[in-house]
Amino acid sequence: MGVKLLLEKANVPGIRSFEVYRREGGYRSVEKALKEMNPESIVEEVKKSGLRGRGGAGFPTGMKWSFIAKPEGVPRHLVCNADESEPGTFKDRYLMEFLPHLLLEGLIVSSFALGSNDTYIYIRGEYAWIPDILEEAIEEAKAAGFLGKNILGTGFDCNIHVQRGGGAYICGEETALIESLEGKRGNPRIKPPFPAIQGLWMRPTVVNNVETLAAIVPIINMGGDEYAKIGVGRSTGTKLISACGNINKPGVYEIDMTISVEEFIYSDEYCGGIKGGKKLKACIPGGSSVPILPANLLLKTAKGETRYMNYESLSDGGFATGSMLGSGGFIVLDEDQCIVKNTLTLARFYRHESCGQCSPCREGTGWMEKILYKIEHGKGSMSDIDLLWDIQRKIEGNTICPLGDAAAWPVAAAIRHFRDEFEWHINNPELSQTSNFGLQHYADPIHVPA
Amino acid sequence: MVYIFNDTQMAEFKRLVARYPEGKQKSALLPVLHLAQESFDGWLPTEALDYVASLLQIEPIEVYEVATFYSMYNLKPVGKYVFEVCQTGPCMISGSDSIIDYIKQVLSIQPGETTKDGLFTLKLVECLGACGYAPMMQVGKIYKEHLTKEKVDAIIAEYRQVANKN
Ligand SMILES: Cc1cc2nc3c(=O)[nH]c(=O)nc-3n(C[C@H](O)[C@H](O)[C@H](O)COP(=O)(O)O)c2cc1C
Ligand code: SF4
Ligand code: FES
Repeated sequence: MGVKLLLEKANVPGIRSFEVYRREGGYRSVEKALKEMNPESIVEEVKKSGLRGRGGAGFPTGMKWSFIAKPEGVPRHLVCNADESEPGTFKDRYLMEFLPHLLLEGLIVSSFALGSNDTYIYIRGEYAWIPDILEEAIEEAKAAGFLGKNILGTGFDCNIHVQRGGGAYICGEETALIESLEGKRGNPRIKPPFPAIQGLWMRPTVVNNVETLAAIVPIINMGGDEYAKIGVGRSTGTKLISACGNINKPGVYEIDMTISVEEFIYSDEYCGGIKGGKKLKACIPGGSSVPILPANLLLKTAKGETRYMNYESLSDGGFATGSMLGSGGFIVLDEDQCIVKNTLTLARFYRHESCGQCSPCREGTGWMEKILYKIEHGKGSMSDIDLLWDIQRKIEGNTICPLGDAAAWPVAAAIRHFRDEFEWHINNPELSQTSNFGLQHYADPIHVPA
Repeated sequence: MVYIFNDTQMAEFKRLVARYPEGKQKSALLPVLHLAQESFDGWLPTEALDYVASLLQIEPIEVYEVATFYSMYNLKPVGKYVFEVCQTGPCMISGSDSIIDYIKQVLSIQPGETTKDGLFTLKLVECLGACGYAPMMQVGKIYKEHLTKEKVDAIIAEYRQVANKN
C-alpha cells in the first residue's frame, strides 16, 4: 500500500459529517495555520512542499500564491476550480462527494494564506447533487466556528460560496471560469493581466484545483519538507488518478508518484489489469488533451526505461515518444478499440466545447471532426491524414487559451503513433466498418501477446 | 404558464444573490437560470429569460448571451425526463454506442427528440465526469451509471410509474 494523504479516511463510515471528520483528526490544519502561522509562513510551507497544481498544468502552487497582488483596500479572492470536465477525469467529484470537509479545510487555510474573505467554489453544473453536500458541510463548519466571522477567535472572517456552472468545458480554464462566475459567457480572457493581478471583479484572484486545495491540509499538518519527501524529483506528494476504460477496476486511486505505469495498470491494488484478459493497446494517461501512447511507449520510455506515474517520467521523450500526467485522467484502451473512432469522439468534444473566440480553434476543431468522421466512415482519402496534421499544427499555439492546443494534441498524437491504422481505414473502407485494425505492431512489450 | 417565482423560489433567488458583493448581482445569473429552468417546466422561453433579466436588473441580451452559451439550459421544450447520454471517448470505448442505440429503439426517438407522450427526451452529451462508471447518463439531477440494457428498461419503467402516479 502506498502513502495515502487525501483518501486515507475516505472509507470511514460517516466521514462526510463534520462530527466524524473532526473526530478523525479533521480541521487540525486550520487550528495550526490560523493560530500558529501567518499567511507568509503558510505560503513558505507550500513552496517547500513542491506541490504542483493538480488541475492539469502542474504549475507550482506556492509560487502562484506568491504572485497575488495586495493593493491597499482591494478585496482578494480564492476560487476553487471544481469544473472538472476533461474527459477521463472524475477525481475532484470523488473528493467533494466523499470528503467534503477535507476540501473545506484546505479552502479555509488557503483563504487565510491569500487573504480571501469570500471564497468561491465553481462546480460544473452537471454535478448537480454535490453543491447540496458541500453546502451542508459549510453549515456544519460554520456552526463549529471554523467558517464565518472571527474563525476560532482569531479575527479571520471567511465565507465559502458554491456556484454551479451551466455546462461548458471551457469554464475550467481559469479566466473563462472567472467570466462565468461574473455571470457571463465563458470566453477566456487575454492574459496579461493575470488573475493574480486582476481576476474576479478585477480583484486579485487565485484559481486552484479541488485536489490542489485539499493537498494543503497534509502539507500544513506534516510540514512542507516532509510532504516533499514523498514522491520523486519534482513530483512531490500524492496524486489522485481517475482510471477508466477497458480495465478491471475503474475508479479513483491515490498514488505516490513512484509507482510504475505497469504496476498501476496491472496490479490488483489499482486497475487490476485489462478487462476480459485482453491486451493493452494504448492509453491516454492524463485526461483527453494529452497525447495518446501506444502500449510499447506507455510502459517503457523510448530509451527502454521503465515509465513511472509522475510528471517527469510520463513526459519523458517529449511529444515525440512521451505524454503528460495532466489532470490524472487515465484512459485505457484494449486491443478491440479503434484509434480513429476514439480520436473522432475527442475531436467532436473539442469542437463542441470551443468558445468560438479564435478562428483557428473554432474552425479548426470543426474541420478536424469532419475529416475524422469521413475517415471513420470509410470515406477518407490519404491526403486527409496530412490535412489533419496540417490543421492541428495551425491551431497549436495560435489561440487565446490552451483549449486550442488541447484539441490539437490528441489528433497529432493519434496520427504520430497510429498512422498505419488511419491508412488501413482509408485503404479498407468496407472492412473497417465491420472490423478493427487490432494490435498490429503496437504490442505491449512486457505482457507479450500470445 | 406565468413566469414568476413563487415565495419559495423567490427565497432561493435571494439566497443566491446574497453570495455576491453589492452591485455584482449579475454573478448570480447562471444559478438563477438553473432555478428558473427547474421552476418553469424544464426549459427557458424568452419570457423566462426576460423575467430573470428584470430580477437581476440587467439587460435581456446579457441573459440571452449566457443562456445560449451553456449546454445545460434548454431553450426548447423537453420531455419530463431528459436522458442525457454521454458519448465521449471513455464512455464510447466502454459501450455507450449500444446503450444509445438501445434507448433509440425502445423509445422510438432519435437524439434531440421527445416521445409522443411527452415523457422522455434523448440528448447526446459530452463527458459528464463519470468515465469510470460508464456507460452512463444524467437524468435531471442524478447520474445513472454502469448502464446495461436491463438497467435502461428498469429506469424507463420506474419513470413511467412515477409519471402515472402524478
Ligand atoms: C480548456 C481548459 C480546461 C480546464 N479545465 C480545468 C478543470 O476542469 N479543472 C481544473 O482544476 N483546471 C482546469 N484547467 C486548468 C485551469 O486553467 C487552471 O490552470 C487550474 O485551475 C489551476 O489550478 P491548479 O494550479 O491548482 O492546477 C483547464 C484549462 C483549460 C485550458
Ligand atoms: S482557443 Fe478556443 S476555447 Fe480558447 S479562447 Fe480560443 S476559441 Fe475559445
Ligand atoms: S466520457 Fe462519459 S462520463 Fe466521461
